[in-house]
Amino acid sequence: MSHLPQTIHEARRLLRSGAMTSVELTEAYLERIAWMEPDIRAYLHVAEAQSLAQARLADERMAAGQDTPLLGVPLGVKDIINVQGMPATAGSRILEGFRPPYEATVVRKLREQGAVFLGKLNTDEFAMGWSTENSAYGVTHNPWALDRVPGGSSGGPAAAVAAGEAIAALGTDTGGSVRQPASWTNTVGLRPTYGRVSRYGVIAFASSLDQVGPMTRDVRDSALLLEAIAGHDPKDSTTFPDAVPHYADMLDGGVRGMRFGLPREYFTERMHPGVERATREAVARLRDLGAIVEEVSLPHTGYGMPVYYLIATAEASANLSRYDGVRYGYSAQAPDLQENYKLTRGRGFGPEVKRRILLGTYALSAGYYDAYYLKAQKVRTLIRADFDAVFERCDALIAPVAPIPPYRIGEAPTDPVALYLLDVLTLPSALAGVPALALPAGFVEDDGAKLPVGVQFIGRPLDEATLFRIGRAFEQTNEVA
Amino acid sequence: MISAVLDCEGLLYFMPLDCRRQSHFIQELSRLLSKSRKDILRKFKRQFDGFHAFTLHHASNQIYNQTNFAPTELAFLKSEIRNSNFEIPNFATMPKLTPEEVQHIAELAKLALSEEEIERYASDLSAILDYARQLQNVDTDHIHPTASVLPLRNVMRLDEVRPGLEPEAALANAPASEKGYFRVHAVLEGSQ
Repeated sequence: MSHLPQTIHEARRLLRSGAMTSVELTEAYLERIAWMEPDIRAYLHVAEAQSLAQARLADERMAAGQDTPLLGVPLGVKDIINVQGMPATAGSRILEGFRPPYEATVVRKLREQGAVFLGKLNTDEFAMGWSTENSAYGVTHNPWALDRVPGGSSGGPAAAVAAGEAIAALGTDTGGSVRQPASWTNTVGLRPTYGRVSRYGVIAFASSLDQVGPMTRDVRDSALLLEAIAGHDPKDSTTFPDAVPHYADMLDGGVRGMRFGLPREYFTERMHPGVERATREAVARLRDLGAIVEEVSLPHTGYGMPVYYLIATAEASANLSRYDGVRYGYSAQAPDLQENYKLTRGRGFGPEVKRRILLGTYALSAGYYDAYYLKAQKVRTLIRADFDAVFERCDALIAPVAPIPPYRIGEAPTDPVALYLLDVLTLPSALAGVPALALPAGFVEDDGAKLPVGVQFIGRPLDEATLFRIGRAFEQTNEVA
Repeated sequence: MISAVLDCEGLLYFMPLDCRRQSHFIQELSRLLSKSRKDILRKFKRQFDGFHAFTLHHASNQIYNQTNFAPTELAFLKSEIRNSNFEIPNFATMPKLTPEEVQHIAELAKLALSEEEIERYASDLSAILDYARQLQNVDTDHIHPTASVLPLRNVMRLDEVRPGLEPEAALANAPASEKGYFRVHAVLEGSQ
């Protein structure tokens, strides 16, 4: 095939016009995967036969006159989201060989719309990480610099989309796991408002924070994908009943006269100068488009890291107690039940997951609950209030996504605190439950390499439409840049 | 040096007390409190030993529940401590987590860890908790905790029978099953 469409909307146009069939498109993507994977290693499972069967079904539906925004479009899914008929490992040995007996609501919705699932994409184990280096199944390589990490935990989806191994993908964002890899791979990543998208069938990490988000090549695709997966789900009582807007019809309008806040606390000491420069340039571009940008303060930003790591690990320690070697997944087969629990979990979980289970168990344990967990929940209230206050004056915030560009594989900071500070700029919005859209903002030089850098727009709860409108306007300045 | 701070409920936190500091604290408190209240202190001390990071908030509940401190006695204790010149804690000097404590947490979390893992996690968790202690600098008086960012509400549904997983599907991933059940090793000693 001479030209492979790289966006959902472009693929739909070609499919609708009859220029290609979904089977042809899917075959082309499978070929592309076979060609790229030795370098990228984004996929943990490629569903060749299944995806082609879905594509044939999509072609039949199109022949019958159906036309939905995702009909026949090949997508990838982070391997922490259950797809019927495919394995689901969450990047963990403890789920090796697990085949979920049910499907995530987001996947069911996409399937009903006729999307094609190419396979499952790499993730840090249970979405705990920044790089996919914590995956039990190997690291994914950044398509922009193969010796560097793609970011994480949704590093597989980000790399696959960036390398053209999927038109778009679903990731998950607990503390920045969609936005940070998007920003490190020159792709678009949305963390929706907490409660906008169903978590049913998504392997749980931290239930008060987990959200599924689209990872795409442009803003229009992000809008199309969110519209397809969002909405109330009777199987997830934390989903909003509010109707889902037609986001893709609300992209135009620009940012003239819009008010943006630039949080001064987001320019941290350890920030790479290139990241700071890219953010300042993004602000200048917004102003050129007629937006008003003013410095604002989110005074509790610095507490985001400890609050997040106490709350998320506490929730994780409870969620991950289900891996007991009895009902599914790896079992150590020890002859004593208690011993089997401990050995199964001790061997099945990787080092970062065990570290977080221990931290969360400690934060919840008798004598420390008030000083750590309850205190963190109270400071979380203050972090939310910071956002409420600035959104009284601003339509959205503009901020950097990650303080540094992607690092070389194996060269992560060894100090756990320095490591946890890598997502300091994405944690507060996750804790507040507000939506945030990460977009490409150019490239930075680092040690001779030219590396992607992103910028994020943070919006009011349930106001993804405004983020898409901003994103579309901003993205057009990328195209001419 | 004794470190104490009042929390939003007016209860005292004593954070940076290793064993040496605890005994020093008890001596200091003995000096401060009247002779007639020595018995309170003895009970108090009993609760106090064995904690590394200790909160009176918990201690007060435990003391009240377990060692029969009258509310008035507790109130006295608190007011005495409050009126004395304790320093705001220096959380940077908190004791490190010991390997024994990590072993205990691992036991709670049902994780078998090697000696090397225990050593490494003791050092990792100490560093993270040290960093997390900056939260104690935030004034959270009268602040409600956020468990969920959603507006609190009960979500109800009709109590109707709906299709669920078939037993075969539920058991399909089990390491061992028998006659429609998950199979585990004997839980109780002497059972088959």
